[in-house]
Amino acid sequence: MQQTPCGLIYQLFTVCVGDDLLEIAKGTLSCLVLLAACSILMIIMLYAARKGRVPKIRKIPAVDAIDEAIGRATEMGRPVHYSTGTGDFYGYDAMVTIAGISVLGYVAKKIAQYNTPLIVTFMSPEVEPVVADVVKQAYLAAGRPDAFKPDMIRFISQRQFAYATGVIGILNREKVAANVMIGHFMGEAMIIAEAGYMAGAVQIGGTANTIQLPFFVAACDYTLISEEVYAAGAYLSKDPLQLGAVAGQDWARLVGVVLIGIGTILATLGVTWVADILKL
Amino acid sequence: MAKKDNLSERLSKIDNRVIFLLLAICLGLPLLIPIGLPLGISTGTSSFYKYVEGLPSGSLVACVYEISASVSPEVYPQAVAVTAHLKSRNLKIVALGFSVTGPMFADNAFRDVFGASREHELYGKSFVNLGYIAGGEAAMKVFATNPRMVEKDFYGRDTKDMQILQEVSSPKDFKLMIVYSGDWMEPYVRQFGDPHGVPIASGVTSTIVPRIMAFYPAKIKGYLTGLRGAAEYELLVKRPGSALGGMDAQSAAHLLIIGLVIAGNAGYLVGRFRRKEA
Amino acid sequence: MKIKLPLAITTIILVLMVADYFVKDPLLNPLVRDLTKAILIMTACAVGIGVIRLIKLNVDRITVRKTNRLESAITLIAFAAFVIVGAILGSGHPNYAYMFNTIIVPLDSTMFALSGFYMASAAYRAFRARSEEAFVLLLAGVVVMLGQAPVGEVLWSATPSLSQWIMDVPNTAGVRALIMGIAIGMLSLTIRMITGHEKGYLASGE
Repeated sequence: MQQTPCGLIYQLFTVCVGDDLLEIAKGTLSCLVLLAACSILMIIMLYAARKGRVPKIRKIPAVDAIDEAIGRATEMGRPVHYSTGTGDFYGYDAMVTIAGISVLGYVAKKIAQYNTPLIVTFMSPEVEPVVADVVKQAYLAAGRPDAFKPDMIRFISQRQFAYATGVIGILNREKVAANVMIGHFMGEAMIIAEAGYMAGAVQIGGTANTIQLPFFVAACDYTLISEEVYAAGAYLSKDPLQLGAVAGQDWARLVGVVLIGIGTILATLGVTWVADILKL
Repeated sequence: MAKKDNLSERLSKIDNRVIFLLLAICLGLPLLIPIGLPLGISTGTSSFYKYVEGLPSGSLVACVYEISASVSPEVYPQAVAVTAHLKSRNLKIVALGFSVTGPMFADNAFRDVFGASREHELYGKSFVNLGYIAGGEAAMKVFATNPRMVEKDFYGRDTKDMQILQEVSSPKDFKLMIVYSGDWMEPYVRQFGDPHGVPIASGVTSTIVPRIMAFYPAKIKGYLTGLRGAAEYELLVKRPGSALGGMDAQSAAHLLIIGLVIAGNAGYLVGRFRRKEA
Repeated sequence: MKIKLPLAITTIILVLMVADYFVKDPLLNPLVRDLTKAILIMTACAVGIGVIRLIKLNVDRITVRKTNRLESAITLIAFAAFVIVGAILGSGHPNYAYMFNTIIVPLDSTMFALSGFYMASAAYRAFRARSEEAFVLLLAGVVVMLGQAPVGEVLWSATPSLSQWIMDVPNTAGVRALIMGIAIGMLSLTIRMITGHEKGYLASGE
């Protein structure tokens, strides 16, 4: 191999990974290429935003409604209940739990400014220190550290329906005016949402669990649907760089749409190139 | 005029307690006085049954019990009917669970179908309960790379010398993986279906079926839809049970909900029409 | 450092786990396998956290706050009973199975059954033909509900095939699109996290 810059990089690469090139697992090459392409798109949009090209994100009504809900609770002098759901940090629900906690930071900061009572519930105990810290920091950032009370953060139970009954009790006893549920929810979603409706609370639900989305749509006043949950944190922060990544998300989706469109048309005509390439 | 207005308003604002009471009656009465409506076999159940029928005798089948106590009334009857089918086809069953309560239901299913679990003479030869493997999807990943990772079964017995497990060295040794679940199926497709090519079939609650459809039939070979799926399978294996008994109640409840929706819409539309007129 | 260290750890582990999925390498794959086992151990510890938290919460209620003392006492007694029986006899013992089948199963399944009642009232409230789209949703919901119950086929023989078509075609298309959207959304959130722009969960105060 010649001592060109590419040759040197190749030699370094082979020294690091061994004499043979890395063996890509069967059936994953196309996934790897798509993953790399989508990631690069998002990073490009993120850094384009850094250069000043901040994309416009469409309104997400459910996220805009959070401010209204907090305002309503403040006027009525009743608490806001926020639930991050049944998720934890080590399963497939970790990302949506993190998304829910990000939105909680914003909600807590807003509530701290208005001096509205806040109750935060969650199912997994390992989420508690993170949630407590996020809320505490939000109160600190709002200049109201004295208003933070550890009682706001309520662990009920690690069991799904014990948690649900605890939340129903809170919604009814505390006469909650606004019920925000953003995170991973399972069968208890319907129970909590309907109980919130019966308690007279305005409800905002958001989950990436498509199985529970119909229940939220039926029972809540506003719903964040699938990837809106992940975009909510960026939308609320109004950070240009985060908004850039959200725009990158849309470009990645466009790549998927184009592939599906071309593949469908070709497959209908009996040409399976796209399907064969995606099986690589 | 006022009376008619009240009727449309009343139809569109029926008290929740009335709805709950009517639903309780519709669910309870058919259980006491069965009607016996005919039941067809749906596509998912038919695919599931045919796949199991097509397996050679003596094949290894992994049965993952993700059943929690809350969804057990819907999913457990599926597990019993399918286990009976697997037994009748002389298929070998390796039961395990990535949820805490799953193996308890595996134990119940073995008792219901084989008459006993760990005491049975065929335990360790034709069926085994590996118990709970903690760790969620991470545990699935580890199990997929090493199915012999479980050293003690659900009853605390050593698995090293168990006859049924001598045939297991990789996930590909399982000719089918049946997942009974009240939650997501994607982790199984990600950890077993895609990387190792293990065919997957599922018995799930009705609410999950829309999501299962996205993977059927490429990744998921067949599926049972809630209590109806269990009833259909009981019919196919000729082993009537609680699922078939619940079908009349399900019919009555569904009819009630549809009736309420129609009544609500009638009240709403009449009210809207009258408001426009006024 | 408070932000950078967790981000660095997250990024390194993320790269390793993703690489393991795509690459067959004699060094990388066993390393990730061991890392996954470490995650299993951490997960098991997390169960312990839940137990400690539950005991502390209920003991506090009885001794310090003096609210709901009876309920907390019942919780602790039931907890102790299951732990003692399970530890001595094992969870595979028939006595433990009896306790599970007669206490946990009816309680949990009753709670889940509540969602059926709540769904009835929510469906009654939500399925209103306020617009054309809402009417189509209403129609599809009615057809699928009839298709799920034997009475649907009795009322009209085409109900099961119509219901199956709705599940096979529009539903599957929508769910696949949602799943893809969720996956892309997760990727976006991951990139925001590892580039340090998503810090809401780190409680940085920013």
